[in-house]
Amino acid sequence: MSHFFEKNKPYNLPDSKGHFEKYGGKYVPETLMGALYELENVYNTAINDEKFLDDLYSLMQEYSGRPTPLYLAKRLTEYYGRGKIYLKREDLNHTGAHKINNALGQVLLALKMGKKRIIAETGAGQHGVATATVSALFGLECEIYMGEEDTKRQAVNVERMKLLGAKVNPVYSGSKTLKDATSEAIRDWVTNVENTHYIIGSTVGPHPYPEMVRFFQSVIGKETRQQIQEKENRLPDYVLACIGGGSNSMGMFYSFLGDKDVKIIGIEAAGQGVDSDFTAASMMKGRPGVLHGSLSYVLQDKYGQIEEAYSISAGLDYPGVGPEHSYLKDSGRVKYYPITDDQTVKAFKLLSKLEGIVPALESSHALAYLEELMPNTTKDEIVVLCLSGRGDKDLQSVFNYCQEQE
Amino acid sequence: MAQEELISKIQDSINKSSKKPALIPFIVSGYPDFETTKSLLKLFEEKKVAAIELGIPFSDPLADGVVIQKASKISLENGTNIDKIFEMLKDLKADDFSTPIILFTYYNPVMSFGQENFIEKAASLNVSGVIIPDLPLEESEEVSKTCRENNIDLIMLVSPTSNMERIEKIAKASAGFIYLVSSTGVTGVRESFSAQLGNILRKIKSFTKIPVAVGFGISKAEHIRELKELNADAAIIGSAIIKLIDQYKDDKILLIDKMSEYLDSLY
Repeated sequence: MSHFFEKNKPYNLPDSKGHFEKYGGKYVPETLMGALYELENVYNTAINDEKFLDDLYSLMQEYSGRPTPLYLAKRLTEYYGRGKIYLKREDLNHTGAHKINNALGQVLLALKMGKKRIIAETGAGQHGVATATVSALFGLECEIYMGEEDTKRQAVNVERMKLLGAKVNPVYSGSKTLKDATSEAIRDWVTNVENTHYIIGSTVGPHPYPEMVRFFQSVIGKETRQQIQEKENRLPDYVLACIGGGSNSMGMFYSFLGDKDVKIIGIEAAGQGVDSDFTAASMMKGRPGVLHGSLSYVLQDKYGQIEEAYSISAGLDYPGVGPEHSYLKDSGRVKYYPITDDQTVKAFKLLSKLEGIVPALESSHALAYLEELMPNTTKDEIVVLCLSGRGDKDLQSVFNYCQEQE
Repeated sequence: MAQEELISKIQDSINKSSKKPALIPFIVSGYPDFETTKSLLKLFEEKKVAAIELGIPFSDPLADGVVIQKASKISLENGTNIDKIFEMLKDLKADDFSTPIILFTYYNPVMSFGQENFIEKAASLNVSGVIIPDLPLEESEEVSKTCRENNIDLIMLVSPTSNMERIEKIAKASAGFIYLVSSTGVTGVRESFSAQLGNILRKIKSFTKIPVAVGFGISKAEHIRELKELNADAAIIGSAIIKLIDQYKDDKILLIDKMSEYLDSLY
């Protein structure tokens, strides 16, 4: 085998209709159903074609720099004085985050379907940049939808996308963030479905997206599994990742779900706190509902109107979560915890100072959870954390946040 | 077991309409307020429309264009919710309102209310049909069953992108009428419809005898004539009506006059 996509299944989910038990599904207008079936067919053929997978993985190697290192964070480990902390360096991917893994996979499927136009939503801009990048690589027309609020928070990424030849459409509806950008991208897709492929950036949306994005991101966990065995000759005790829609986490977790001794923890964004009106903790504060094509935990009011999410991190600022995470929460296999903006910024600074690695605010949520986890670990335990992206894009947000706090 | 033949009130009303195609206007409940909604419903009844699509505003209307998005947002900001809509339907029932009412809603508000509770409550308030644009055939089994048990028509959509096999399944599963989307895209005024529209209409009619209503982008007499030529049974007009409300919402008496003129101008 020369590629690193996870083909071992911890369970047979989703089922053929895209359900993770009660979650998931295809809650979209009829106009999109044909395109979803077409995508499902092309995807199923591709992942059973070893040559396609080898080609994709070698593209990831040559173009994006895979495999990313599994790095032992020595000074961070010393700081807590307990278990060993390893960082899976997805921040070292081309374009600076794990998002490129999925974008490369989906763009190859778009080519197979003969679609010449690519659209995507983006929050922090990382998925938008990854999509604009792969569109440039294959000479495809590309339009990105981004909440107007996020175009301000992540102005540098807007310029990057434009430089890469993409058109960036600011979205002015609702909270002007990721939720609204996703709605607008779906509206574009409903209109232009015949010549357009929609590269959804996370394990959200209608089937087959949650399964497909998980598969393309499964390189993270599959590589990690091999790397930790090479370094430590055993599996880790804990695996951690942050969760917005849940793509870096599903990619990391999937290879470990069947290992019952590995404790798996997902960190969601609490914003100003889970009991404040400014939070994105859909697992803790939401209830099952339908948003953007699938059934999952959603922040909503008592009438089923979707509530606006809030987080300092534009990539986690979303009132929903991928359906597989909802399933994993209910099953108890994965534990989910909320982390506030304040805790996040502290972790952002800590990793920068101790390791010389500036983490994305998204990944900083997972890092912040180490404060709670590490004192409960022992020296011989191993923690692996997915460092999903780098934080250059977040310097302004952190600077503004710190000024407001003073 | 003897099968009881329940006659669909909506289907019956479309078949008996003097207008060809029959008219089905759409409005957003509580936009800009419930007083306006009630006045418009009365006008629609006077104008003998075949049925009325009453929208339940939703925070994230994926299938809607800017006009209905904005109306939904304003309605929600003014405090519209399902309880208030059911309250209004109760008043209409007490007033012997007779035009069939179809609730148009995204799935999440239905799920949040509980799909059984929602359908039972709607049935008790004389609602005749339900349209849920983000509930395709694949996810509709439970709701469809509840609707049948409560004698409510679950009206399903066919799109220009639906293949033959799907058209046949949807045609057989839909009740009241089949909602044919005029072209790909979201709701909103358009200049032209899919070139395939006539073909799709014929296909649907080869599978079922229930009426076919065309919606999305219909705004003027020319469109109505075009649909008549294509042998469509009904025309659904939404965004054009909402735009008229936008324009005259500050003078409710004038709004009713203008709406009346507009509806007359279509045939």
